[in-house]
Amino acid sequence: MIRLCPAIVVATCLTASISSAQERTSSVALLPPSAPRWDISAYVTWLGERRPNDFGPWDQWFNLASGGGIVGYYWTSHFKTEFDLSSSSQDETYSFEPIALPGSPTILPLQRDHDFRVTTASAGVIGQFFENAWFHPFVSAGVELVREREHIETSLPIGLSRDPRTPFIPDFQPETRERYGARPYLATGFKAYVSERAFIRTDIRTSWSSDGLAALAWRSGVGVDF
Amino acid sequence: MRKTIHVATTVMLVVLVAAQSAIAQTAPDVWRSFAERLDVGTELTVRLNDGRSFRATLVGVQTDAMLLQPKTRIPVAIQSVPYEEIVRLERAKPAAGVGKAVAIGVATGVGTFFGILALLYGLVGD
Repeated sequence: MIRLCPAIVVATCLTASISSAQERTSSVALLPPSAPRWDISAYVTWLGERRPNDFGPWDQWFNLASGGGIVGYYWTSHFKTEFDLSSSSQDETYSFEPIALPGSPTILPLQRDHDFRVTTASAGVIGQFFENAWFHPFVSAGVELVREREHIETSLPIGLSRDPRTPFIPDFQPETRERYGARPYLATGFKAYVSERAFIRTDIRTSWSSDGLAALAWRSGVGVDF
Repeated sequence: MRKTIHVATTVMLVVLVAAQSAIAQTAPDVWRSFAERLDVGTELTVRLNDGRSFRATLVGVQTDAMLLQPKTRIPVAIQSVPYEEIVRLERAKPAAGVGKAVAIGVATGVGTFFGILALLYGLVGD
């Protein structure tokens, strides 16, 4: 009997908790039944792309302007799925590559100019705070597919190609490399409404790779619910 | 020793359950009494037992519920809010003053300025 008593009390307590939890489903509606489920926005971005050790023994940050659009669907007033497409402007860096000329012991430092551009497509989920308010902070996580386009122009040291003593120098054609990858992202920001459906949106987004932080973006834009 | 532990556990659980039900029973009467003393049109801040919080205008008082017009972005119908769903109820504080509006404006302006600066920096490059 003594052993049974706590069990009965625990069972009673659990039942009370469950019924209490059921009672917590409120009948108060802060969102009209016809509330918009979709939103769309356009934004501009300051984008920092980090490429460790790609062009030398140091971390290389590319500063890019970027723009894009987002479409989102609200499953509930607090949970949303988003799809995002963006494309960046171009930034450049350079690297030096020593090469040995054919038939000569001479080592030439080739300069390579790298033009760099990023396009991303991403899908993620958003947890949005508050309900039918004028200001909605949110946190977001997802995966972005990244297409990097790198255009490389190779040039010789100035005057070298006109020097008759220079042995045969290969003709360096510009080349374009494309890389594809996927990386997770985390973001936080807010939507501030200026009317019932139009809003300003801004967020900070971090993308991650096995080397750590891969990109940092500050995005600001405008949008509308529909 | 084991018997003592069992008895102590039982007593503790009974006390917890009793306290919970006491709170649940007391609150609605308190809120009804409070609501009856308010003037219609009073702006209130309401917190419900499901965690939601909102500002609303008092429209009417009934025996089992308050009639509230929530101050939401997209207007919603007048809501009947049962007293037992209310966790907290208080008069809304006055709206933000001129100082706060100026602070928001300045912050927005500074943010926009640095945003444009960052974009130009990104476009022009190093």
